[in-house]
Amino acid sequence: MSVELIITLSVVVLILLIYTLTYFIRKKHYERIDGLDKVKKELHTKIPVEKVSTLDKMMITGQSKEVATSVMADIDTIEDENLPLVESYLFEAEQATDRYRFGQSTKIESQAEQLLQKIEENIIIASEKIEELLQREQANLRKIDSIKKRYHKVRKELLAKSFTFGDSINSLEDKLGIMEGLFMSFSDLTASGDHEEAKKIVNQLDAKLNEMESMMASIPEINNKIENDYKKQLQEIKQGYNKLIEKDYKFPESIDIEKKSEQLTEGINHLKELLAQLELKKIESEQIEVEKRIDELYDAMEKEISAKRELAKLSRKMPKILYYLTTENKELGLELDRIGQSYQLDQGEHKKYLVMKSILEEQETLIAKVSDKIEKNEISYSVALETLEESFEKLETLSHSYEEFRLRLYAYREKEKEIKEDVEEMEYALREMKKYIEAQHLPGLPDDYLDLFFYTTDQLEKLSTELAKHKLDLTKVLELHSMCDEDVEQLADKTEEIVDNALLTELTSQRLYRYKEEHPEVIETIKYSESLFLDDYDYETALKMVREKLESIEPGAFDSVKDLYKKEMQKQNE
Amino acid sequence: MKNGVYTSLDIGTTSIKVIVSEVINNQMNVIGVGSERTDGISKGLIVDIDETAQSIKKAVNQAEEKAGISIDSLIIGVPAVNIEIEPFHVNVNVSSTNQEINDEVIHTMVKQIREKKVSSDQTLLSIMIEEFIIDGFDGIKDPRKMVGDQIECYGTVLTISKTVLHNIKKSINNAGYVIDDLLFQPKAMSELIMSEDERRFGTIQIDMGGGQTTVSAVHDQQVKFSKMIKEGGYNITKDISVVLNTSLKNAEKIKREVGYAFVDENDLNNSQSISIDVVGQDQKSQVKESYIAEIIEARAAQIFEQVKAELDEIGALELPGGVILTGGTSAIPLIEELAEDIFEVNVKKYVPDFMGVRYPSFTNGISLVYYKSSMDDLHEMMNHYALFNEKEPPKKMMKAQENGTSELSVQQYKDTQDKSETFMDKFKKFLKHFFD
Repeated sequence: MSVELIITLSVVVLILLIYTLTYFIRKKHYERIDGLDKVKKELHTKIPVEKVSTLDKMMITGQSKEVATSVMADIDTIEDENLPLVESYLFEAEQATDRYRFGQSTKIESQAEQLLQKIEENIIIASEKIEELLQREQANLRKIDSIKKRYHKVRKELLAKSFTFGDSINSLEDKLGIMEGLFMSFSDLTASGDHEEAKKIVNQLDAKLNEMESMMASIPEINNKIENDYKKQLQEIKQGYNKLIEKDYKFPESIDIEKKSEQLTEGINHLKELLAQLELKKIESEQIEVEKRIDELYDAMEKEISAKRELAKLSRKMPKILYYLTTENKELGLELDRIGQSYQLDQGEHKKYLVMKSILEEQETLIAKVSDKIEKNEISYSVALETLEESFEKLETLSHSYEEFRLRLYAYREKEKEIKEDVEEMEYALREMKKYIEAQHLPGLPDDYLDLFFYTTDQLEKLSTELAKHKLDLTKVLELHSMCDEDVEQLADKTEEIVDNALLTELTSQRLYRYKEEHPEVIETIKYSESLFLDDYDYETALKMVREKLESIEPGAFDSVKDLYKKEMQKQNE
Repeated sequence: MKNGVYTSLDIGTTSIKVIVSEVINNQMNVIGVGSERTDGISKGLIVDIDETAQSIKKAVNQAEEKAGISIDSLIIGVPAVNIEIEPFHVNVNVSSTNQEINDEVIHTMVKQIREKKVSSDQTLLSIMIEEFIIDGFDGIKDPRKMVGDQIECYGTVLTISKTVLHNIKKSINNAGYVIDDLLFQPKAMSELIMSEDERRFGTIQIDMGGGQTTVSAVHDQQVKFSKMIKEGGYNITKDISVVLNTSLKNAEKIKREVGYAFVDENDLNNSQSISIDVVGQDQKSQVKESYIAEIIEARAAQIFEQVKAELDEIGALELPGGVILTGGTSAIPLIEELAEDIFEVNVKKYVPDFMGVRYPSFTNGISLVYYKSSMDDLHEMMNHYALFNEKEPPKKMMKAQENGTSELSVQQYKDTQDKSETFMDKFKKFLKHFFD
């Protein structure tokens, strides 16, 4: 095949390809335009033409009229402007496609599509509004029917049970009157065709009726409470108070029962007034106040009644506890004096005693005064009871304080005994130590040990002297005691240490002696250690010498010597 | 003192004690101590050989561990039980006047002593020489290497019951040890605790042991009298236990810790109390220390009274040296005051003062090694003849020699038996030194 043929064929193929392609694109555009046209036609059929004409013929005024006009205007716009505009878009698109201007065509097609969407939305909104306008009247009529039924029911109940509403009946009837008026204006508005206004009236009526119904549900109960409960209770309080006064009861000055009753009466009356005005909310809060007052008055009276009983009981108890504490006070005074002769009381016991004594006296006077007042009926039972109870509590605390005080006083003796026992034990321990160290038959004892021993003995002597004093100074004794305690402990440790060191020196020397052949210098070491042992009684250094030497020759040997020593000591102690 | 290592065995009633000491340059060093409680001895006599052998072994092992050497022979102390002490006088004619008096003569003398002085149930234990007289010249200490026709000897002979000695020997053998020497304990003790003057002028020693108390009178360097009283510290413990109704263990502890043996008026008035556990009671009971002291004093006084009766019989309390107390029970404080009160002579207490041995309970043990090391040749030889009835060196020595044991044993042997060294010994010694 020649090149020309190939080119020719290629061109033919290309032309064919381009042709096919354009054909399909155009076909697609035509399809879309057809589709949009179809939608446009559908929308046209959706316009509620009949309903619009019905609305147009309807007798409407006022607000309803305004709404109807605007809706109809909207429909007109769709019919006269929007749809034709779509029509022209589609035409333009078709033309553009014919001329292979696919870009322009696509743009116009989407404009048409958007517009169609908007038109659809507007049609839906307008249809709804028209529907509503057409239905309004019907709805209003249906509602007013049910409201009327409820109204009649309420009215009937109000007339039938007027007594249960107390003073509120007039206000309630007024409310019925108002509603009556509203019904009238509803009829007028409906007749004139202003269904929107009529609907507002319907809503008003509904609200009023709701209020009315809820009031009528709660008022009987409130009225019942005011008329039956509160008033009866008030009466009972007044009667009870008079009876108590007759029986010589006194009330504390802080509670003026008469005045409070007066206030309560006023409160109840005010409640009634509020009920007449239908101020149910206010009533609710004031009711709480009134009930509180009633409770208060009852409580006050009950308190007096029970106080009388309690007071009788407590009055019988008081002299006993007073007698007990007075005796205790006297006894402790004597004890204080007695123990004070044997010990230096260093914890402010005298002062403490005086404070307790003054508390007792104070309470004694107070009780006498209150008793006197009770006798002369000058004091309310509750106040008297409170005072006596307080006093009783104080006396009880005082009794505990006396107990503690007594223990504190006796503690001196206990402490002394304890220390004396301790001193005996320490003396015993010292003698034990002396015996123990003597039994070891050591060549001598180091000076510092002897010093410590004699010092400890002296300290113990001092402590014994202090303990033997006619009037014991426990603070000083305790101080000395703790010092002695420490000294004895230290001495015990030291004793143990010396014996251990001495015996270990001997054992270690024996062990070290084994090496005299291989290490001739050990003889020197042992001799030196021995001289420290025998002449200076310095067992510690003596041990150190042989130990160090032994460790240098046979590491670990000292530990085995020590173990052996420990075992032997244990065996001895068994 | 002769250099060497000496190991002693003190068979006491409550405990068996072993002391190893080494003598160098006249100085004795204790190098190991073993002590073991035993139930095999009663009142100074062996009643259970196996039990005793066991305890001996344990005590020796302890001492071995401490001293770091192995021990195979022991110097044994023989107690003053079933013994007879008698003065003797023997007379031997030397055949040739020119011949020096030698060991043969000494041996003949021992033989004579045995024939004259030892009854059939007794056996010769030891000979203490006062003096030799050669041809009328008296006061001779050692007649050997002298010449003379007639040689006489005055002294004291000590015999012991065959059974007692047998039991001792048997126990030692059963324990697996060889007897180095058997020494009369009171004699050994007197050598240690008394000064030469005290021994010469006369002194009494009382060894207060656990199960027995041994009183001996020493005069002219010889033990002239020795008697064992079969009561000791253990009886004190038992008394405390019975009177206070507490266990023996507690009683022993109380005795050791708070006991003393002499109560005076002062003590009775202000004595401290201690609390003790009482059998059958939950609570401790309080006992005054002076009360315990009274218990101790009662028994101790009873023992001393018996001792006094014995001593009075022979008039020994007239001896100028007074009384020396020692032994474990003498550790009770104030016991010397009590003794002084009873004996009415000067009383002192002896406590050993060697490094590692500072308790009176070790006096016997330490005195055995001390005596053995300081014994003179003549006495050693005579005792050897007396004991083993032969001229050969003791078996132990041979054994040690053959085994070529420790250097110490060889050295000891060399010092004591220098003259009887054989050729083999010399050869061995040479080899040893050569390799060293």
